[in-house]
Amino acid sequence: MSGAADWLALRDLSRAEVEARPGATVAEDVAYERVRGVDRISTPEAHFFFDGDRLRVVYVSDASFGDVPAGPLVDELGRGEVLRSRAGKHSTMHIWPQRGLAASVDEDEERLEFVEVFAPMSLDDYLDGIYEEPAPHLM
Amino acid sequence: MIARENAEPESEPDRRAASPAPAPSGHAVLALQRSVGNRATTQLVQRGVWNDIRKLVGASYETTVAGERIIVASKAEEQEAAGIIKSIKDKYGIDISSVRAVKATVDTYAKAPKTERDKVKTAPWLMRELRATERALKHYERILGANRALSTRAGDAQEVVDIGKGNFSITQTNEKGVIDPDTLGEYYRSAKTFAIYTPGENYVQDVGTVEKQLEATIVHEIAHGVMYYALPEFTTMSGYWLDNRTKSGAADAEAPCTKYGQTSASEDLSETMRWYFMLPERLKKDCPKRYAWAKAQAEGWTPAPPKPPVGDFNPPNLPEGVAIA
Repeated sequence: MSGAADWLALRDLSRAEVEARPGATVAEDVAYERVRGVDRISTPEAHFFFDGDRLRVVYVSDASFGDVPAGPLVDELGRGEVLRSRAGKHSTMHIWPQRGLAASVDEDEERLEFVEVFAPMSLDDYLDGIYEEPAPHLM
Repeated sequence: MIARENAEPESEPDRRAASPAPAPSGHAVLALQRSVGNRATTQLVQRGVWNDIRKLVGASYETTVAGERIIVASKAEEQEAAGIIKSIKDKYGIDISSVRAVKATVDTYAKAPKTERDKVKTAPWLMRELRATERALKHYERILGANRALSTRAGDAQEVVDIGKGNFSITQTNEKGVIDPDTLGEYYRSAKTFAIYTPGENYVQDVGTVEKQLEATIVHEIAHGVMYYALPEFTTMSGYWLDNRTKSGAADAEAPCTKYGQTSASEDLSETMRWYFMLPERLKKDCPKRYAWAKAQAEGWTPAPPKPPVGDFNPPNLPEGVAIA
């Protein structure tokens, strides 16, 4: 997966479809950043966070998708809103809230570290509802 | 290397921030005027010999030892600094090189504006920083230098080979990056180097004194390097992390020992080792799972000595009439 449509397709899966995937496991009443009180359904491809049957966010890390260059996605969507990434000082969070997509990019190696897929929303809603500001780097 | 370091232009604000032997104060200039006269004082200050004056009157001054700028209070401290630098090289296989630490900083933040990168400079060491570096390295002595070959880490190259002092890091690896007033230290994996920065000179967090804090910061940075091999195991063990960057959100998982440790599994691991070596009883009480893991790691670095052979073997040749007790 490297284009926006590939990632956004994850949003179309229902809870039942995700739970039916091979290797799916469920952890109840957990959190993802600012998203609280959700169930996490983990599959080999991604972690899906549901509030009941409503999908709140999909988290996909490079542990699943491997070494994917960031260039094609950034070229396709533009740089988006740029914020600090929880992946560290050497990483940047690119957010395209109206598209329902965010990605952390390792700026040293110019590759994707993780991707978030969610319902299209305003930047303010993303900042209030999903994004957690990383602590200032000290050490 | 040394010539390049000494030739580096210093921007005035950075130099003031970095050096505790700053330009003469009004009080000091008056005292000097009283002893050598106005004209001589003006000439001395203008000729930039203030550092020499400080040396003459017994105040701390900047000197160069093994290519590193160091603030010392006496000739004895100059010798102590030389001894520490040599000892760190001999025992742990690590060079004290501020030039390489600054290069690692600037190279890492290559996408930050050049105007910001140009502000990153070497900074003079304080004696307490050099002493803290030596103390911090001792905690990891079984997997550093020649000892590493006798440890469970023998098969892998040492992850820290240079340590240096810089004035500041940079906040981000992109066009928004600016000089970072907060970062105390930073490990650069590709350069196998870590830098400590001037914001740490007087910082105190949770270990009591500036001296202990410096040691603790360096313990944390070293862990980013030498314990990277254990990060996957630590991440899984903790239950707090889904992966290195993402919390599991599980309410019953043991939380990291510090708020900073909640940043990522990598910071959690370094904070765990910082507390294990600096605040062990507190780690044991607050985070027993992490304490047990850190203890097992640290105690496991040196394999147990081989057991004596069992079974049939030739008895030693002993003089007649001598028996083995």
